[in-house]
Amino acid sequence: MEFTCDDALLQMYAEGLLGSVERSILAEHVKTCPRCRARVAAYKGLLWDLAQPDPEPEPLPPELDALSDRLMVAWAEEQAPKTWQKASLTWTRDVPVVDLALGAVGKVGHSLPRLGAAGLTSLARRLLRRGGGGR
Amino acid sequence: MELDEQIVSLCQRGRQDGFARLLLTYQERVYRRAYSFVHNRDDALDLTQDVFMKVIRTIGSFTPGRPLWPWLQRITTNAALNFLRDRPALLSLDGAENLPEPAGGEDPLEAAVTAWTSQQLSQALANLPPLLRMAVVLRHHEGLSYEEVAQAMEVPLGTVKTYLFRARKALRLELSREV
Repeated sequence: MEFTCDDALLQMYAEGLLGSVERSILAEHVKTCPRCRARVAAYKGLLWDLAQPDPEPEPLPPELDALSDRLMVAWAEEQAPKTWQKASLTWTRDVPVVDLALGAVGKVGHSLPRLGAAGLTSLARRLLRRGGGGR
Repeated sequence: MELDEQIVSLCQRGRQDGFARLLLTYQERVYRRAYSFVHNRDDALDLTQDVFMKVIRTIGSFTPGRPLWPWLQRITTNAALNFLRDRPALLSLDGAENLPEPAGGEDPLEAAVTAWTSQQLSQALANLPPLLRMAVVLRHHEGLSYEEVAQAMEVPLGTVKTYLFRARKALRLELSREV
């Protein structure tokens, strides 16, 4: 066992992170040390495989669609106060009260736009999944 | 990048279709990244929700023109770190890195040690302690530099190196044992 058999050094060698002098020393050592040669080969294989997209990723949970819907609701709720603010500013200029009220309900209460957008998200995701998807 | 700009522009105008597009483009990616950190479906779903709740609150101050994924990745990593900090055994390898080196040492072994399957690798990754797994995912799946991993995990550079060396040694030994 020599200093060059150090596992961390071998990993850095496999990863190409050593300076030129250390790299040459390791390269010479690896030629004559089968154990280190095996480790370097293993690390190179490992680094390569870790960088590849998972060929069989975990299937996506069906709850992701419901989560999308909940997040769309949260988005609408987060935007609601801003819409009210905008509406009241507009009202002071030229929008009749009735129109303002309908507009606010349309933007804040709005069950139809909310469900529509969330449904669109779910549908589009399902279509995308058919075409596959990587990491 | 253009898509990101559109998404950010729509979201910053409060448009619902902008946020729908953001979910459509990134929700699966965030879930998968969260899953790679925690290796548990329900926890990954919770993390995904946390990430997008944060996005809802903060996208108004996101700088237009910047790519969204690095920002989402950072939020996902932070959410996972906060989640994992409450868990025990963040770093303990239960002796996995102290396993004996495989027997042999000649060229046939060299061929054998790289012959694991993707399922074996995935299982070995799942067996790593969470912080070591996170370092491996950020470095090797996301392609971050050591410095970027240190920044993302909020630890010194030397700590990241230690995490990675320990993690990869444990992976090598576990995979060598299986073949």
